[in-house]
Amino acid sequence: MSMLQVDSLKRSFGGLVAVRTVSFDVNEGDFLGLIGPNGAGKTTLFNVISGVLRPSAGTVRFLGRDISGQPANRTVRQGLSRTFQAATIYPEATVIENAARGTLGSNLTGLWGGFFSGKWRAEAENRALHVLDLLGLTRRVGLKARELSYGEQRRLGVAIALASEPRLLMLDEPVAGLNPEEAAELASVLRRVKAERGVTMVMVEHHMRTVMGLCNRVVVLDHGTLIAQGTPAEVVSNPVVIEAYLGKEAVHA
Amino acid sequence: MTLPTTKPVHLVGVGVAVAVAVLLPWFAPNQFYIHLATVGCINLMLVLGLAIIARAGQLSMGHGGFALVGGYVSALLSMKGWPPLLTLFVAGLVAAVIAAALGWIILRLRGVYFVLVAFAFSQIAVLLALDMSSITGGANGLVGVPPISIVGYVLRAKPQFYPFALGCALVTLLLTWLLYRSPLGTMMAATAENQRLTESSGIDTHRVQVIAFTIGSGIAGFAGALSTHYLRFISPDSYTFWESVSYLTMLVVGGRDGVLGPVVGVLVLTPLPELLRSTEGLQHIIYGTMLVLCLMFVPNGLASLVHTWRARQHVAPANATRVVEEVP
Repeated sequence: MSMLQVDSLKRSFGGLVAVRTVSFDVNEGDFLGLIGPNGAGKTTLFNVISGVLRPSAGTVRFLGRDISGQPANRTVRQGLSRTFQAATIYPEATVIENAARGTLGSNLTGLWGGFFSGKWRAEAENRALHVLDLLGLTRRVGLKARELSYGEQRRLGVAIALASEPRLLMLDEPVAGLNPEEAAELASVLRRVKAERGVTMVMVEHHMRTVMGLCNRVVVLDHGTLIAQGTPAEVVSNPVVIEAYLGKEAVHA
Repeated sequence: MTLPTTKPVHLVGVGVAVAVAVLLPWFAPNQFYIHLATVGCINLMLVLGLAIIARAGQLSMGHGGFALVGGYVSALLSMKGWPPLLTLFVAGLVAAVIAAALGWIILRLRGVYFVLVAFAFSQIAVLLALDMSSITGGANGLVGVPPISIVGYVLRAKPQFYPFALGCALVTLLLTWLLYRSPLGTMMAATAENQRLTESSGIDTHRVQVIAFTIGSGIAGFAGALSTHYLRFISPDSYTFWESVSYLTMLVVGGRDGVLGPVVGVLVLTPLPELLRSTEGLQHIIYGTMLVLCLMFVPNGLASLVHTWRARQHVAPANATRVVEEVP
């Protein structure tokens, strides 16, 4: 079943067209990789889908509902969460508070509830502990987020997104800036999350080894246009993709 | 883990502080001390209102404007014969409604722009009070505002008014504390710390900030009205820009985290100008120097000293357990 349908999506900034008429589907259970050279429009596409930017034209449908241009916070409550490129955490809060804040949108009490009872907090922390366990951060719960290593901060970012219990999780360059060991660790964590939670995932990533190892499908963007899609093996052997990455000579060589 | 659980030590501390505040009229050497304590209670409410707005990540430089609106609303209605006990709440409500309408528009503005528009609002409030002299009495203000009376018991003298002001301040303090612990308070703190991430956790951060601005300004309106019925007088000079600045100063000097900061800020800065009065012309210089020193050496406020001290006591055992955990 197709969970996310992107239909002739376009986004321009003044005269610059960052994304031009891109269409693709994400099926339930997919781990979709979104790749492309620098400046291909991957992050813009990501921001438009998750509601951070409005599309200039085209539609995004999630679970059959049109979500194009609606505020990000509503999209999250409908089950589509995302992470950000840099480590996006609450630096001064503890690790468990960070993850517990991820549950706030899921309306454990409503906006005005929880004034006289601490039950919501126990529930939120319980859910937070589950995702922290999944991401291997259990031993860090009492530390402030800024005291974590960079790799741990990136995992905490994923934990915050997962705490909202999304059906679809979008990861913006999850392993960028990590060393090979940290990248491998995060990849195995993501695999575990997928297996245990059954979350459908979309990932923007430059790191090809991570993409090849995790994704079952890959979409390739270049200059804002979708140039190829298929399994990782199909995509890496596609001459159009090789040309986009390495130039014309590489194809003939 | 996430909240300092209410330990017996804390409860004893709060109990002693409340007892001292309640018993103050009995051991105060003269009525001036009671007056100062009453002003402190009113200041505490205003600073708590400002703290709630700051909790959601915004600075309001127009806080005095809402107190002024509240003061005039309550004064005018009670002079028309409404019971002051009711008009206090009407004043808070009017201030809150104005804040909600204003906030919906101006909270889209970030940072310094919001500060400027809130400042402009407080200036407009002062100008309106001056210009609409047929209603507000212009620069002369309103004299002879009725005192508050509770079932026939009139709070006219200082020792009678003080317990009422203290009660209002303590209720505000309790509600603020409950707010900070609630999901809404958590959303406010999250919004202030990382708005983009909070938005991505499914929270309408604009709405959270408007609600914080509405609650905080409503409290300011109530406190402004309370002060007006205490002094039995209000004029455009009652809440100028300088009052807004002084509440902000109390908040920054005391500390922005939690409810302890505003209490400390008010306790230190309300009596300070009076204590410095004997130094004649030097009082503003000393006041300014103390502020600068505070900002340099305790940037998170005097209340943060408590946290630092508490953290220092926990460091040793926490490190020990971490080392043990690392061993496989």
